[in-house]
Amino acid sequence: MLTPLVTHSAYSLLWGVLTPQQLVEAAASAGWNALALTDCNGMYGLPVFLDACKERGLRPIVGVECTGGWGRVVTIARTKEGFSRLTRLLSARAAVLNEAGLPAYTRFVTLGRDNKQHSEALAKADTLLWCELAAIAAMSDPGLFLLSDSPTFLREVPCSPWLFALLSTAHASQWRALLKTGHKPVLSPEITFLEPGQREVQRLLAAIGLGVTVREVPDSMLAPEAAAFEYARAADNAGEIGLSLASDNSGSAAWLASAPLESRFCDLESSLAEAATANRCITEEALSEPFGDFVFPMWQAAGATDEVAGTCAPNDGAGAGISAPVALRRLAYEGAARRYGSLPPAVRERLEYELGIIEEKGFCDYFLVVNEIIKKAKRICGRGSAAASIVSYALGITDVDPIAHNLFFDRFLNPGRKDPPDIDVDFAWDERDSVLEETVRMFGAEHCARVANHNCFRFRGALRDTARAFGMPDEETSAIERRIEHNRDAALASADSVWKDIFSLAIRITGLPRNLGTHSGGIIIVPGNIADHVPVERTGSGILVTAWDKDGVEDAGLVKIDLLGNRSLAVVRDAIQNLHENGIELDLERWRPEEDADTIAMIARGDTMGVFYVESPAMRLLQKKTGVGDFAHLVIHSSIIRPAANRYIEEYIERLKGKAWKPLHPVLAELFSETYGIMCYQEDVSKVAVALAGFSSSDADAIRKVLTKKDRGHRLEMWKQRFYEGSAAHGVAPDVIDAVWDMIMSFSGYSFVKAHSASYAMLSFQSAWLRAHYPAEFMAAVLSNHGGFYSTLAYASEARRMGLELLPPDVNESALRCKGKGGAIRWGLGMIAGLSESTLKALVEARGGDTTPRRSSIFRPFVSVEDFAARVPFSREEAEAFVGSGALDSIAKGMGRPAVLMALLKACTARARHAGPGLFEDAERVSRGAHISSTPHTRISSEGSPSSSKTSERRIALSQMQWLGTTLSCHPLSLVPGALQMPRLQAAALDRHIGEYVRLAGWLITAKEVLTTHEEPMEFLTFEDETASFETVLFPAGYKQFRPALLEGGAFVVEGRVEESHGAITVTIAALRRLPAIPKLAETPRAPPPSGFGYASKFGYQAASRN
Amino acid sequence: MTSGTIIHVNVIGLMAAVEEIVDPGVRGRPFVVARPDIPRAIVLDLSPEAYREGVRRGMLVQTACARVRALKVVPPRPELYEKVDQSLLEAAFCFTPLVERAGRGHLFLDVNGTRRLFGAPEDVARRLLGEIADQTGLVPTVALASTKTAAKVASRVFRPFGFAPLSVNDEGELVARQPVELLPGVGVKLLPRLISLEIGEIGTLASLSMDEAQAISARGPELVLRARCVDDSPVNPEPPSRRMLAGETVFEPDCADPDLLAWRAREIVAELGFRMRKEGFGAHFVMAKLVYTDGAVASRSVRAGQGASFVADIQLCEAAERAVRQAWERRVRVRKLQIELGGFEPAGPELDLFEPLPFFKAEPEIDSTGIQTRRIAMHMRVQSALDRVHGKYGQSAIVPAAAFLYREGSLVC
Repeated sequence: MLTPLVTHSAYSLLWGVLTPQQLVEAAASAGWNALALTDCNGMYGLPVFLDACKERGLRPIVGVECTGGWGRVVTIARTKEGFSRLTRLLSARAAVLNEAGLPAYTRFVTLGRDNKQHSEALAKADTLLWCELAAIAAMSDPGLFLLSDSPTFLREVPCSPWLFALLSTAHASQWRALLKTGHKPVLSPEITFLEPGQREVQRLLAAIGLGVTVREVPDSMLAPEAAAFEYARAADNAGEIGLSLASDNSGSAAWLASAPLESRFCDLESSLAEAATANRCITEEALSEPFGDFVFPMWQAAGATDEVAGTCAPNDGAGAGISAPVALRRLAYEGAARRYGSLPPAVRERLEYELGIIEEKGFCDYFLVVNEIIKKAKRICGRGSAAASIVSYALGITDVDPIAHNLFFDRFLNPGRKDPPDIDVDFAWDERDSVLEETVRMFGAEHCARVANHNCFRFRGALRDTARAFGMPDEETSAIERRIEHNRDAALASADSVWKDIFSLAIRITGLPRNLGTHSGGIIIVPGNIADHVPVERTGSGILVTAWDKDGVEDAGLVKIDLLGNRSLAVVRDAIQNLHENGIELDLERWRPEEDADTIAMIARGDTMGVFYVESPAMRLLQKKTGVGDFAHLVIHSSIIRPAANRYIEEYIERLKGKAWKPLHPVLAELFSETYGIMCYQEDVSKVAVALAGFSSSDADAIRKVLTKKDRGHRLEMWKQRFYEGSAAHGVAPDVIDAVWDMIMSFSGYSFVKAHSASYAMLSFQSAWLRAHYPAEFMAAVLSNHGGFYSTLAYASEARRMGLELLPPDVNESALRCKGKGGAIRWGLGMIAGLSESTLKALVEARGGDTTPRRSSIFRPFVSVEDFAARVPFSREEAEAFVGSGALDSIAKGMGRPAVLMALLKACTARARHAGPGLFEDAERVSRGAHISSTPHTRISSEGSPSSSKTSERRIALSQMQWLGTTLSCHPLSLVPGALQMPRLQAAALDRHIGEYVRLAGWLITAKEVLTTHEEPMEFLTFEDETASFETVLFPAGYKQFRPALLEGGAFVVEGRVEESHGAITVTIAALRRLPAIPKLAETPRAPPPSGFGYASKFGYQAASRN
Repeated sequence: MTSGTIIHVNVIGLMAAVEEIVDPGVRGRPFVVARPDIPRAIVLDLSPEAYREGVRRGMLVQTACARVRALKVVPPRPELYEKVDQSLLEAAFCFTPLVERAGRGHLFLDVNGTRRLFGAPEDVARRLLGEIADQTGLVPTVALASTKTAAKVASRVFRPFGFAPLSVNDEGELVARQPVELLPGVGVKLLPRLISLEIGEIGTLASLSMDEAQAISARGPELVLRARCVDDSPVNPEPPSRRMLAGETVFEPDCADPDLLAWRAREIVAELGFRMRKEGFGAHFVMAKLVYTDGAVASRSVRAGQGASFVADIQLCEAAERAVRQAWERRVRVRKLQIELGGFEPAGPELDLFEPLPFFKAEPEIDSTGIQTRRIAMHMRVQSALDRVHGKYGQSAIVPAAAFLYREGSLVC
């Protein structure tokens, strides 16, 4: 059979329509035993393709279709060197396009839009491809086969053993011409579609890629209809029966249907036989395993000769010219001595054990490289299984003592583990990018790349993109989305014909890859050139990323380091800095927040808004229900609270509170004694598989891994069968096996290892301690870092409930971030909406240069509005923001806000005029204004003078909502007409009305949608009023009824029954009604001017009757 | 009472008002005027009851129906509306030749100097109101003031119907005490700023000094003058067709096809071009105005070079297509396309069908409109013949073959 050597998957981004799995499945079902993947100018789908081929037993052939304006050359890798040549070529092409701001997958420039830079970049990329491919063809052994059906290319490039004239089944009309070029022919089926109708999907994808409507994409940009699977297969059959293919010179699929085939192709028989033989030869010789061993980053001692590019020299600690194992050992022992004071035998023993395994497996460099990276940040938090390592603890990668907290190293590394270790480290969210940049600088840009995300179309995004390609305005699409969210079936049924088409196409592209994004923190560092291992390119934001996602780079053996962003690290950092500014110093070396009684009691109460990882409503309810807040239990709680484990949570609470229980099986008694017999941590799955079903360590680890995969379905079935068989063979009763398997299934989706939970619990305790002892500084840091789970409005309410005073921003008193002191928080200038960074920078410069006021000795406060306007440049819109937020109130000296705003606007205009008027425009405007006297016109209106008016409290609160996103001195509900005046219960009094039907007014602060066991949607909603926040439950029936009202958030009347469970109170919603929105400033009622008929009659005017 | 002489006649929702008169059964009910049988049809006009239920002009009919269960959809009758509009105009011409057409259902009249014929302006306005009611059954808002701005603000105050004859002494006060959002030119961007400045009434805006006016916005001085009712723009009686020629097409369903858009532009411009040439004019500019399906508007003009004008269809069509292409910047469907020809200048002698030497010079090869002169010269001879045929047998007598590609907005072959 002829192997399809030319195929395109959806990883020919925004052009291809088939997933690699679909291609492989179709090829396997057609009886092919080998298949190439030759996506256009990219290899994004290679790891997925290799996986799919492995699963279906097909021999994969690795290639790329290099396409330019001059035609195409399909390159097939023959050796690993050839494969590296391809990855370099793709990276070079990507660099040319990226420089012009185009993504690497670009094949066409935007139609009808004149963009010279883009056209030139594409032309340059085309030339690059041509030159490189021509050079490759001339090499004695390039490790690649080149197949081209470009007459120009074949005419210009001399014959070579590696260059073939490609006779594609999709372009039969060209065959005769191609055979005349003198190059050896190769015959190949070509597949882009499974059926010709998919061409419209391709047109849509092309339109999305080009940013045009579907009607603007010409057929010439699409693959021919003959590139459909059925034609490829028929052609292949035809080839087998004597290569009797027809050519009608039309280039369409119709040629295939024309019969008899033999009569149309008899003159080419010998050439086609030769071409078929070439296909078979290429299939045999092509590279099918492009990936090799693991590629680790390499560490190099200071002072050593930098012979290996891409290595890193430590800047201290390890000494010069020593090997990585020696350096790691020295650093580990020094760190342990610092952590423990002395080195007790248990510590030494553990260190030796871990260092032995690390050294034996050759992971010393990896640890040392991570150690170098973490030195670049102020605060970090090691996460994942690495937190179980005493070496990580000693190096400062983690903060949890694995001996004290009983964390086992084997989950992280063990002698039998085949895959590389994975050390993930969190950095403060606002430092992470600079750490990554510094890492790249340290190791060299040519050796590093961030890991990509393959952003795939999700239905909503697909719908939006499709709608745009059909010219639908975004507003209309949003309305449709809301209808779909409410009731998808009804929305689809009531759609008009255009929207029906859009839905249908959107569904067809859902799941296909769309573009490359950047993984949240994965970075690859290799000793050689990164482009030798993987194609690299820049994303839209300019970050160099691998062509493959995290699974892809893992398959390719490239060991990644995860450097992730974490807001709470920044909260802790800022709170400590704030304390320092207030003259309070913490001894961080001796800081033991997990031992602090006040902190433990606060966590046990669930008073944890703002506290890392335990602030969600579900977590706070769990804390309230359990009533425990010590470190060990917090570790359990942060692991057990996962989507699929609800029923085990209830069981856990009851057992914690004394309910008698016995283990499901005697073997499990000891394994899960610390978690009351309930599987809690990710590693428990492996433990139970070994203990109950007799799995090997690696199989047990495999089942754990499968549970975390998105496409676990069929693979899990296989493991389930093995688990049942293994357990039964060990004499476990069927009902026990069922119960244990159910518990295993509660780990589907995501779950955590104990070490990870312990590491996070430590950070939780640090932030909780700050909240318990320095609430103002802590909440200021939470607000400045935009919190985590809740909005600014919710955190501001919580701060008020904590008894803190919220002070408005002030150009003299505020820092850029919020700052706390004593019982008050001063709002930060950087949190005023609408102020640009440059304006804030200019403001800081103008008052002395320090972001925190009055800290610098050269602090120059603004003494008046005029002074401010003279020293700080701002736009009209920013003037509104400064005034509206109240930042100038303290220097207004009795001027009302309107007068201050007018002064700023005048200053703005004067500055613009001073900067130079436009040649005609401004002069024209000035002349238009010449009719206006410089003195005010006689005032007729009923309004007061702007200069004298005092802004009302209500207007101030409305302004704060607009510019700060929250009110400061009152609850936002007070701005909602009628909300606080209606008969209702205040949330703080809910505990006195358990079992009663109540009515409350509440501002929705967060919502979490979940599915019931019957797959019906329901929702947990958190509201707050001026006294407290309260949790509510909206069951499926209520969800259907009230969900539309919830979509826009805001204030609601909530009615329902008050329920209590283990001391935690919730309201089960029976009725929900949306209250009017807070009016915008422009909508606030003003003194009504006499108008309309009333005014008319005063002046004797008459209203005409309609009849 | 001394009043001004400018009358503003404002028929709010002319189409819906006409429908209420024609079919009293819909009166008091929520209804919209729209084409019910077309996918993605939009609300062309609506009754006050529908407005109160949240329906708006330009909204998709489907959305409107989803919002108001009992909404009635009345098919539009363009000829009838045109007839009514013409009746309004005729009623106005009974009192003064100075009538400006400011859009469908909007007229400005200047009755200065008609006192001896028809009495005081208040009487004229009152009689006009009666005349319109008699002729059409409509009851518009009629405002009388000394400037167009004051009259327009007053009619906004008293709409949907009423009679507001303002005295010169009072009109400043009336306008001054109205909410600032009633002043033409105050939009969603400026309004919040004015409110922050506690400028809630037009009078407060009027009291701003020159510096203050410039400070509030680049167009502040204009607005302040308007707020003071300083408006010296005269009522322009020249028919719009003398100032410019305009034609439009509404796409139902809305259009996302550049070829169809270009074709419709050609159709419109061919008709306008015929009318223009008939008057012996050429156009200095061609303007394309697009109304997107979400209501946003974009327009672009293509101008002929200095001293040149577009005369032949080939020039007009190319200019129109270029203008459409430039205007269609957003990837959003187009609901309405309007083409305007303006800047009319005499086009020179009419060409003879078989005369080889046209008035165009042989050089330069490329004229100032960017089109090959020789090609135009050849085309002009055909154009002349075509115009004669169109004049005699109508526009549809001869059409380009490409016209058969489109039927009701879709490509048929």
